[in-house]
Amino acid sequence: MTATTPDWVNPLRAADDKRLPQIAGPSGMVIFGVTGDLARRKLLPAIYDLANRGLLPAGFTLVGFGRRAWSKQDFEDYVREAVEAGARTKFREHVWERLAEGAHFVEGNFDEAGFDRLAATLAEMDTTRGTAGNWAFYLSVPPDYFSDVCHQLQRSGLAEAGEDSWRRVIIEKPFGHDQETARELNQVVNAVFPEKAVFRIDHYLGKETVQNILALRFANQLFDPLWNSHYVDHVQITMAEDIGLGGRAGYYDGIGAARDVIQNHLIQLLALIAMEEPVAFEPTELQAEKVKVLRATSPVYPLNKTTARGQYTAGWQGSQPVIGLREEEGFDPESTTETYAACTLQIHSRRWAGVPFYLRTGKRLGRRVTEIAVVFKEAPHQPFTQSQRTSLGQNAVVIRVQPDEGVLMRFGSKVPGSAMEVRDVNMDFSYAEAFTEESPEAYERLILDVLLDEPSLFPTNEEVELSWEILDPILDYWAAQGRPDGYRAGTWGPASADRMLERTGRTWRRP
Amino acid sequence: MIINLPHTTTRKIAASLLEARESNSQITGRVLTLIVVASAEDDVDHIISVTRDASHEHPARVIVLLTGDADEDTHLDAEVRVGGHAGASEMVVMRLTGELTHHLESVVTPLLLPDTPVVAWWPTTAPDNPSEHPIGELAQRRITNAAHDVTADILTRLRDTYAPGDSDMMWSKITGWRGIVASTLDRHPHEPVEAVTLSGPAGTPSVDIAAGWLADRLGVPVTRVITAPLDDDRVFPVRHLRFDRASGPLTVDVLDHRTVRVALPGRPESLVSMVIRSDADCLSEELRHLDPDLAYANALRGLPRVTVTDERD
Repeated sequence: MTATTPDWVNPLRAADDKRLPQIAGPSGMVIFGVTGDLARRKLLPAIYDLANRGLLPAGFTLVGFGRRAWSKQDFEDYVREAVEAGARTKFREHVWERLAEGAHFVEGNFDEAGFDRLAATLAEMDTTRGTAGNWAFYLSVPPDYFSDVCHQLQRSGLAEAGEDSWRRVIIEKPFGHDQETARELNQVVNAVFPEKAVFRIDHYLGKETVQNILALRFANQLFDPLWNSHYVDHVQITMAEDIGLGGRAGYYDGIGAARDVIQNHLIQLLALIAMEEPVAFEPTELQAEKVKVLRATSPVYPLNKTTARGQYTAGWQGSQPVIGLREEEGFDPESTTETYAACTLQIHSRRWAGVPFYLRTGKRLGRRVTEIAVVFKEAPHQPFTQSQRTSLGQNAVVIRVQPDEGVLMRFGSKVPGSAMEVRDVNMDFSYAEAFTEESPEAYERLILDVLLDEPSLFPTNEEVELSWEILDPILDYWAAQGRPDGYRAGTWGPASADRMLERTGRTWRRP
Repeated sequence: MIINLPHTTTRKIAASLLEARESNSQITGRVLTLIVVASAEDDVDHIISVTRDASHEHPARVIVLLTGDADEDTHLDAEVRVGGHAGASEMVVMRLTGELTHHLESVVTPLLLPDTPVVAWWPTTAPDNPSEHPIGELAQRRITNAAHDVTADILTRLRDTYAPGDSDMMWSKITGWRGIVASTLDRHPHEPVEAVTLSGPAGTPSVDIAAGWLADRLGVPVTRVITAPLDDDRVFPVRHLRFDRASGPLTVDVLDHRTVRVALPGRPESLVSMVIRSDADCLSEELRHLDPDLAYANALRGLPRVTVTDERD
């Protein structure tokens, strides 16, 4: 027996040694669906970037699993191509050589033969590469296959970790398409892997600005006193994309914008903006607060007035003429899938009672932008006359998640000149200017967190099920409403979305 | 853009910085003032390029003070660099002679950014006691570069004069290596280390501070072996490290200028690539944490507990 104690602490790590990099322990990663779009564009480059920053352990091993009849060399060439195209850090031949040594490909289907081969390969790696039995399984495959993969991992004994080692599984959205299917999916995964070994990726949570929401709110005295219904009029959370859905019919038709984006990204952003202060900056405490605020959240009724959905029609995306959704290849010409979704949510708590949270997302909108705008009430009394403040709007704090990550504050200021006139000005903090260009990409951060067993930035099964509970009534209502409203590509969504805010005298910010 | 200000005053320099800022909207959000103190004899181009590269990560106002002959007439020439010539920063390069060389703190005072940290960097020769140097007194963080002028007692001097906020680039040089070393102990079996041996050539303070770090953290006998000089100066100086443990030795060896081999008894050897850090990488890291580096202080404190043996022929 080895002299191992469960609460062993590495004597070389000290809390005050801030420079010492946190390198993942001995481990390897298996990617299912390694030939897919996500793996090629994001995962493989992120793994290289981690290696280049020196954050992967000696002997890190990357195993691709797929149907192709690839040799080790074929796989290396494929990974190298993906890395050269997508890595954010400089390509260094010697870093690549080390990574390539540990790159292996296992050919197979999601059947017994394939997983037996995989099990044999991993066992061999554990003896030749020093991965020490620690493996993360990245399920970069459609959720229909989760059940097969999990079942096979269990059957082949791969889901079970030996002594002093671990097995973890990483899954990507969509986490179901309503609360019931989400629950089923969780049961499938949790039947094989305990919840603490399951990491659900919501790559938005890996972004610096999103983590900065917590720093902004809880490390400062400046914002917290204003962060409630006394001062906040409403909150707008926007994720706009300029791309269309050409080529993504298989995934998107029948799913729609609300399931694709609101259920995960936007509701997670809402939770971070609205939650109470966690007792400590610890994964379980953060999750406790997120769950609490999600449980208090519900749609505002009547849904025909508080929600809007749309489908893009032909138009001009900037300087490009583009076709409408129904003309996109692969989409049903009678498709009722929405490409724009907006809804109004409320939070039943002392802090947020009466403050509407407007969430919207869409494809083929004016430009690609994700932001959260906290819009404040007007001053209760104005010594300035109406004509002196015609150009004064409501104060706002805007958190820009992408692009140009940063925080903007909008307030009134005197216009220079002999007359007293107040106009809105911006005070802008930009990440790129104030800090590094070295901030890691979201997937880099998240993959490292999985290897280090640091679950703060991953939604739990409970959070996933709760966010469906919020969204399900809206989805059910829309399902009975036929075709979504059309909106011209390159605009900011359908007229019904504007009416949804006008009803209460508000307007959408142009992001 | 480079604005030349021959025979100038700090007031003109400040005005020219403000003007450059108004006409060049890129410069905002500077997070610190970095004062670089060097002599006009030093490799000024190298110093400026290192600061420029480091400033990609830390937009700063950089003030480079190049002191010349104190016996000449008092004279100040300045160069204001913004935009592409200064990285993400704005830079003032000043050449001073005469009486002015004794009043560096007065020269920089009107140019410090309000309410942001001040960092002093001596890229070549450092004062005997950095925290008592007039520029060092202004700064929260004082960065020296012992590797540049190695004397027999350099580490003793750094230890004796240590004040919170000091650090040296010999320490940032070994951060990547320390990460690899620490991660080897994360592997099973988790046994206590009984003794440590590490070796490297003479005149490489990074090896000594690495020994001090291990002695402080582990509290076991640490032997630093002085070996023959390196044939390739790109190679990381701590050539060999051995942890003695009950199950056998754990070793970390530097194979070439970019590869490290980790070996544990009964386990396959593994190779890991390690990038040698440039001066700009080190400076960037130094600027990342602006509070006193207690780990460095402890490593200095560990130095007297290190046994030194000489293996040179």
